[in-house]
Amino acid sequence: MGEGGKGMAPGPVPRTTKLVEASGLDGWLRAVAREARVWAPVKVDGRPPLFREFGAGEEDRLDLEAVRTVNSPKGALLPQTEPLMTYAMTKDAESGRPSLDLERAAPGGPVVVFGARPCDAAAFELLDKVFLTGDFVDDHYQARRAKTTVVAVACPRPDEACFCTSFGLSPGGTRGADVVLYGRSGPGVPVETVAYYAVAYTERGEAFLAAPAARAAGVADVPEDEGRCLEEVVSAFRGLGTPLGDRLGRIDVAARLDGLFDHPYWEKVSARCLSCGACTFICPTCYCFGVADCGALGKGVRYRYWDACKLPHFMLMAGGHNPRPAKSNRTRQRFMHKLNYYHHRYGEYQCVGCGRCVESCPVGLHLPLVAGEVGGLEG
Amino acid sequence: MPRKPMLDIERMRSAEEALRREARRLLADGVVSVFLGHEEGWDGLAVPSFATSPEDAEKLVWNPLVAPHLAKYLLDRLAGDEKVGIVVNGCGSLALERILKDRRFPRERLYIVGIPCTGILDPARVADLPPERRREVLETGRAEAGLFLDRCSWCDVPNAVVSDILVGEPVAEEPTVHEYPRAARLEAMSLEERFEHFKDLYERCIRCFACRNVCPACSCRECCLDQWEPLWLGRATSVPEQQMFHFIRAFDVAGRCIRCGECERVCPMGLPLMDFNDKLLKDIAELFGVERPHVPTDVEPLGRFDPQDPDFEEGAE
Amino acid sequence: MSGQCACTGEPRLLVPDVGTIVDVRDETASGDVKTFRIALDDPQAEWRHLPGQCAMVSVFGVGEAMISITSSPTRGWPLEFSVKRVGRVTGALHDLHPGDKVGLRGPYGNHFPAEEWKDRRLVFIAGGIGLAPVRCLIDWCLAHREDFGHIDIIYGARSPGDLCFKTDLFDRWPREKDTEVHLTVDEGDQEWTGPVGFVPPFLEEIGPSPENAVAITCGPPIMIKFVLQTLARLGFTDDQIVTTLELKMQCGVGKCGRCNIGEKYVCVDGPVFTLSEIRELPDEF
Repeated sequence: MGEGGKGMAPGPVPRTTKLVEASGLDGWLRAVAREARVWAPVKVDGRPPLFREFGAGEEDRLDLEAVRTVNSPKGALLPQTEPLMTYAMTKDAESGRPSLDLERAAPGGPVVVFGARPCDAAAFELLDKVFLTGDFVDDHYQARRAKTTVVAVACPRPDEACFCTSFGLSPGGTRGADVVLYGRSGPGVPVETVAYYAVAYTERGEAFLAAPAARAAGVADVPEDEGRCLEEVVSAFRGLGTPLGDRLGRIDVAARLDGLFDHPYWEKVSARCLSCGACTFICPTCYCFGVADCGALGKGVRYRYWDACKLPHFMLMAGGHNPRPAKSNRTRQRFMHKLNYYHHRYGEYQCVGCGRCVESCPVGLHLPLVAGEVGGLEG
Repeated sequence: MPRKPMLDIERMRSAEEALRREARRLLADGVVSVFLGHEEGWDGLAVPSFATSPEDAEKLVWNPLVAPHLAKYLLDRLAGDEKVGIVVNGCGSLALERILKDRRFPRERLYIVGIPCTGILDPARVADLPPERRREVLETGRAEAGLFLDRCSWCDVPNAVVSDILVGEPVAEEPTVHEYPRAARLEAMSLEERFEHFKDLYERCIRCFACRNVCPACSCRECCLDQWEPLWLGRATSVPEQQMFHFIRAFDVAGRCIRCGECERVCPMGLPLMDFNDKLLKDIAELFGVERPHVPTDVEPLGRFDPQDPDFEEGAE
Repeated sequence: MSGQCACTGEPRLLVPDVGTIVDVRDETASGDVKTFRIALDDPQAEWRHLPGQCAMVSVFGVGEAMISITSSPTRGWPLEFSVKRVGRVTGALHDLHPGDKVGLRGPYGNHFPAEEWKDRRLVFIAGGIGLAPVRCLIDWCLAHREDFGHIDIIYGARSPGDLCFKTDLFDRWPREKDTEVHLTVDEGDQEWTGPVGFVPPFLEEIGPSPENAVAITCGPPIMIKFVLQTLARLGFTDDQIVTTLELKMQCGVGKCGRCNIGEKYVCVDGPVFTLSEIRELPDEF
């Protein structure tokens, strides 16, 4: 699976390559937003950009300068609040017998995730493993996934919180992406201001680059003499290291963690945890959810909503028993799930090294810390 | 005039030495079983530390980055009757007083080390500086006002208001005029502008509860926002639900907010949460005639009945 | 795998089918345990379950609860669910009457591996509401009586009024071939003439032989703890002991993470586990 960093394997075969001017991106997105729901890093004045819906109007601008958005694009595939069905209890007019009308929620139209970093795109595949495999296929997720196009943008300047390379990913990685945009100036610049090479790796990506909105945005063929430049640029992005990733090296702690469930380390490291859901909700690979009904007078909606194993009530049972009453239980659960349980079940780690937990945890209790420290523990 | 925050690195260094000495002693002599302080965490930022041995005490720091408040962690140690040591500066001691006045932790179980303080930097703003500038700021203490935590600009407690021992030279107290710039800004907005301002907040809030969990005034055994019966707060993250969340919390802490701004500091989405609290603090100051509504007292304005209340009229319905 | 959708129409994984409560009966004198018989409004949607499996029962407007199916699959529909009033959803369910609408989706979970127990002796040990999932299995085994050896049903409750499925306990099961029912209560009453005492010492007294036997146990955690100790003393190995785990479940289909213990999801990898499987799980329940 290694597609980046040192000793990288060759990437997937591009199906088509185009060139698009950086100045044309906002217009392109606005055109696409007329036909699909577009999720992109939206510029917010004076604050880090948010990954949210990009409107068809003039207000929204794309922000590709920030290394990462505060939140992840996972909301495009797994909305924070997702209606599943509506229900309405009625009484038959003649017999008076109760009756129930149930309507399943429609899956919605096409979605385009534009401007995800390669780590975020790879995260979609980690979510796919949960929702699309196993005893049941989650058709709510599947219906949306089938209509989602992912356009990733390679990272010109990974920062001190980035560590995708610790999981065999790369700032120029293609995993989970239908199209990847590589800045023509190559890595190192704060943001690409000239043009991007847009490389499609899937049929869907190809169709996206050939669509009318793309052509209207000036997405054009790459000049013949630029073939070499394109190869070099892609190679440069793929070979980029990440500051934190280089420091941590490849993270491979699953086997280690097998014997560390009862270790006193969890009590120690969890003492500073605030038991909030910040790390979970901004994480592109976290997916736990709850299901609830909301209604009155016999009518309402059943929806699912993001939940977090860090929150104290996550496992609270009717009758009051809580299998994870202490912060150490819950902190252990979070990191064991990401670095051990998920690995046992799905064959890889449930982390893409995006660095959001490093930036967002107010007390510094993040995955690189734990992954780094468990390596030194005696089982 | 609002106090101008400043750093005195030398003073902080000697306070740090004195703190380590004291914590070492307390742990070695078994006076406390754990000492709450700060240690250097990832990339030099300060994180809460829980020293249980004299060796642990060596890791305690007192530097320009010790922003996280510690008092809330006392609620994790309610069980048992072991003594807990804790280091607090002025605002940290307000947080401690909040917990004590709310009767959530027994005073007898605390050993409080007070440290005077003239300002602490905002770790997020420091982290954004280029490395050389960051180093310079931390070594020389030359930092512009904008690098400090917001709370330092309205701070009127340079010395801890409760302590068992003080380390370091007390800072001279200065009279402070209390201003509420956030509230003033909101009041200057039209209703439509205000709605837009808060709508952005509601749309970005991800309901992580970091603000509630860090708040020293939020210490209910069971938070109403977690309840299912009655369902005060539905789990859907719509604008109306978020409004309810923030209003409920703002009003639940009204009169007890200590103006520490930890809610804002920990919010992963950078929401301007102190807007609510600032406005309520100003209202309470004006409506109840309280000069320092952010300083915990035995009975808070909203928790007392006084015939002198401005809107009480003898014989009125 | 990456999203080639073969589905048509609206997604339905987490959406129940509409059902109607056919009847409700009190199992306990206090009424804290009731058995609901539920039929689906659309018979085409009916499914066939295996003993040990559960279903998500919806009370619209309140929520869902994962309840084990207590009627044997050999009896078909309507299905029976025995529910103890413990919280919000079960409380709301208890307030419903025949004719009221509920939601149902399932069957979920694994099942008792009775196909592996041919010719073996079966020892069922249950306490209180724990008899509900076991009853499904008992009836299924009795419907395939020739496949199994001697059957012991050892059951206890807090008081005679708290005994569930009294008709089965007193009338039906004792009549079955080579089947013994042993009942005990923590505290007797005026009419009770049977044994008095907790289930674990009662089990020890009965002392079933572990030879070629399987022990299936379900009940309150404290009872299970001591029953397991007793079974060990009687010579049962971990592989010979089967139980069900109870945890809060939300989706029932192995996605939402709520019932995740170690690498397992209790809703899909359980709720039925052998003791050896349980010993491999982290101690978190």
